[in-house]
Amino acid sequence: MFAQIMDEIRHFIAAGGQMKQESSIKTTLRMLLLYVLVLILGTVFCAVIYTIYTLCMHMIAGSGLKVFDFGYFLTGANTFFPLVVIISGIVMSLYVIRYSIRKVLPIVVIFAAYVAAWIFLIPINYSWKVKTPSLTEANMTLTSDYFRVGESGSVFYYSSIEDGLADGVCIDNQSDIEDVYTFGNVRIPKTEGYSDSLIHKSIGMPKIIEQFVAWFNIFLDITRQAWKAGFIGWLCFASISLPLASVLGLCLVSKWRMVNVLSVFMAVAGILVLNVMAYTKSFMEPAKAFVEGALSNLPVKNPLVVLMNVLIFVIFSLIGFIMYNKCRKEDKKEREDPYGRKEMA
Amino acid sequence: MKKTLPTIIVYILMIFTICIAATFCYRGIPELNPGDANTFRFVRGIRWFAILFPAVLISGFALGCSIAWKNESVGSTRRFSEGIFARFGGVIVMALVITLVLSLTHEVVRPGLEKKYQALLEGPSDLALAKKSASELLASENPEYAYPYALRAYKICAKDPETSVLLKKSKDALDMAYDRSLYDTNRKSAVNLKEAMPLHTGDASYTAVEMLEKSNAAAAENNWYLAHYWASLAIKAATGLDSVMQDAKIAASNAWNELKNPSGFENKENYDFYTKKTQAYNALQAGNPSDNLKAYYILKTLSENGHKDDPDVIRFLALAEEAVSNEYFFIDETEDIEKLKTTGDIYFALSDSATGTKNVYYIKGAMDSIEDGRSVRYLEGLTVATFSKSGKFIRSMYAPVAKVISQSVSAFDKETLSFKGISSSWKKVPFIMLQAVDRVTEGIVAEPRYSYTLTNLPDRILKAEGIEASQKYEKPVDGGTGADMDDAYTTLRSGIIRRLPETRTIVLSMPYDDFIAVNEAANGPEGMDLITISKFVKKATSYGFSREVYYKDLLGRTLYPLFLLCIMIFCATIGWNYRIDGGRRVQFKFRWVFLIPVSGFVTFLFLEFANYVYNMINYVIAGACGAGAFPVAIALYIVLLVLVSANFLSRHDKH
Repeated sequence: MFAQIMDEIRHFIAAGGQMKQESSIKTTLRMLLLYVLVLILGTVFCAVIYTIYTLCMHMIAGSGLKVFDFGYFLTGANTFFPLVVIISGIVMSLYVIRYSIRKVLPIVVIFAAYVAAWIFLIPINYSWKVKTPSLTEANMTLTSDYFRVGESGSVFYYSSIEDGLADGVCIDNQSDIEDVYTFGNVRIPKTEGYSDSLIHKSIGMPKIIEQFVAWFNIFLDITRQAWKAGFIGWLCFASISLPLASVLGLCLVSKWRMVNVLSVFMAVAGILVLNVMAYTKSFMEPAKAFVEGALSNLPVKNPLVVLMNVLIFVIFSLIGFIMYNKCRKEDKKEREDPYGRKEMA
Repeated sequence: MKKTLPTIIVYILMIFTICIAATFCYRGIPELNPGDANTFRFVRGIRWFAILFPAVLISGFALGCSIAWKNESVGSTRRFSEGIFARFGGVIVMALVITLVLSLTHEVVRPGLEKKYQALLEGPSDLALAKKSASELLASENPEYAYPYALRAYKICAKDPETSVLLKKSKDALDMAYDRSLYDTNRKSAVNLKEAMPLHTGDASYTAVEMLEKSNAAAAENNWYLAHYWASLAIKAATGLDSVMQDAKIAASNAWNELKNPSGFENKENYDFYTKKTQAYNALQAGNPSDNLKAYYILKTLSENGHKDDPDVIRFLALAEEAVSNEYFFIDETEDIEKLKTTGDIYFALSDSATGTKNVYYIKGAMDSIEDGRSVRYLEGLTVATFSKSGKFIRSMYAPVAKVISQSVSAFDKETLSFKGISSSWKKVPFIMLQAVDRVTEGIVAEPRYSYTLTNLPDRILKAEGIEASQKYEKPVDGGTGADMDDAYTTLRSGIIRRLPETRTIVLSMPYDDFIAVNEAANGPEGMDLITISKFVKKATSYGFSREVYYKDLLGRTLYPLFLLCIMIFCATIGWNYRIDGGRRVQFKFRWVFLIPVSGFVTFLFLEFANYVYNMINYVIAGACGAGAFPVAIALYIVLLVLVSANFLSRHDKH
């Protein structure tokens, strides 16, 4: 496969002439710079969103916003970096589609950069341990004088809160005998996630986003496990970068760029789903066992995934080459006969 | 841009058809009232469509743009070209139209649909309740109450055979009762509160001099009750140094002496009548709630025992009734409150500026009605928990029934207003009567119960909330001074309790409108309209609701059009970036149509994510900027709008 690409480049350089080669290099440099920018800005963006999320999560009614903690920003950057790497591939594909880039060198370089980001940057990200800021007791203390719906659905009103002990009223409107209870010196139960149930109730994540977050968490777990499994294990997992990068091959499938964009989205989603399924319990189990049995003497972990990823990579690359050649022919035709007069005649 | 319109319309119709087809093909529906199945399916389909509508419209717009600008880079080879400005005009017009449609859907159509959907789901239980109430009330010979329920049942489900029978039965019963009442004047109309209401205020509106004249005239006729009554009013009306005051005092004292030493009774019956009347009059003059009630009952008994025509009895009964109705209400007004509930749970907190206490109010249900042109609300199961300023429990009060009237603020003098913390700009405040009396029999009283001990939480709730039972009575250990602290606390507590008499009426220091608004607030800001929220948000905290939650909702909903506009322009940019390419020969291919749903799905995800982030940002702004949140948020979204517009205007293509 690699020899084929090299041949293509050599052929391209030989046929293209001086001017084209220079412009190829220029485009390559620009795209490399863009790629680095995408990684940095993407990480910053995710970290900012995560910081806003934590601000909301730690917000307590009536006590305003807690002081911004840079630690959350770093945690966000650390957590979401793998996602940024995945998305960076999509963004580069979008760039290729948007500017109709039909040069081999920049595509190959970006492909390499993307695979390198997977193999090297993500492990570096994981070995960089960010300490998540821990909430102090003062930051966790609820404010008194607000109605809050508790776990049981009953409404609580704390009239005073001192050292985690609260006085107040509980309106039990869940049972048939609606009743009001007064209490004193009750220890407020600790909450998971959101500091204030009052805020949590009104900013619940949309169900579909929640599902995506759940999937993303599974994916992150798998990634982390693979990283812990040593370099070979990581390389096997990072084989996902091959098909993910080869979606660049889909950038020319249609004349309508929007179709290309959607193809890239669907391909990325499909690759991620297939990989997650291959690592978790799914219908792939028998196939996994079979491949593992056949290739048991290789030092490869989960060989099915590697095989599958390489296969997808080959398919997408082939699509890319075919479409590239087709487009070049069409471009040539377009240059010679921009208004299709010959065809019409 | 016109070219995009058909694309969008066809697309919308397609999704609409799919939604309707899906809802009618998908057989699984919950239990509904007979005849509601098709309506439910239709509403469900529309509801699905409404959820998808923004994604459909916005993705349609983006696709429309990318099709309309097929190969169209004329005049746009540089950034900020004339060609792109021309396109921007079209984009803005389309975006504004779509924004308007989506905002209306978001604010008007979806809440309405949601209500209808819920009503259909709750239909069977509503119908069962209405039918049960109607038949029970019919059986207990209360057709005037049964009729509205039968009508309600009929309106919920006319196809149910029982409802039409019930409606006919209750209508007949009501007609019969009406006929009977024409010949029976002794029925419930014996006490007509409405006519009695303005008496006292009418009398008090005379000047002191006029009152004194009336007193003298009555004295001349030997009517000492009236003479004393007018003289007493004159004393209240006269200002300190006035000579009228002196005269009034003399007149009152003369009349009082006459009343104290009556003479010339023909028989014992007359003497008894006189004593009773004086007793009632004295009670009425004392003017506090229980004395008014006493006077009312004495005079009522006199009136019913042959003294119906005595002018004094008529006059003072009317006055007593007026006083009573202002402080008590009659039990039979509330008999059917349980069944006529118009609201769900209501709760709010309010601090009392006069005593510095915090009060938590919880109402199980309430029914609104109009009486004498002012709004009246009957409350079922009112609990008020009172806490000291530092939040320590003082007492709780439970009233099974209560009546709230909108009390005009003008009735209070300046001192009372400032003492109670009432602003004269509120116009009306809620005045709660906690005690209900029987209309005819003395002694039947539904009155508030006060309790000075904590009930503590039952194990069921402790378990559900994850509160460990062993910790519930835990007291903070305070290095040996615990006992002293307890003593000091007890002393302080009894001091506060002394200052808080057990009352039968409560004047809430909140505008009456807010009192109505809080019952919506307990169900969250989503159900409130924007005007109510904008008024409520400033005061939310003082009623125990989170200002952030309501402010976020207000920000989110008012700025939603601006946010949508940003999204639309961004989508137009996407449309330009990924338009159809590849020379003039390329035509739209039919197979591309199959990618439209995919783009809709991607847009749906994008919108869900964008909305979520939008909500979080609004939260942070509402939390961080306090009262200045609105300008900050507007500025932020305008900057965003400028950025996306500039991004669009900088679109260009080299070929």
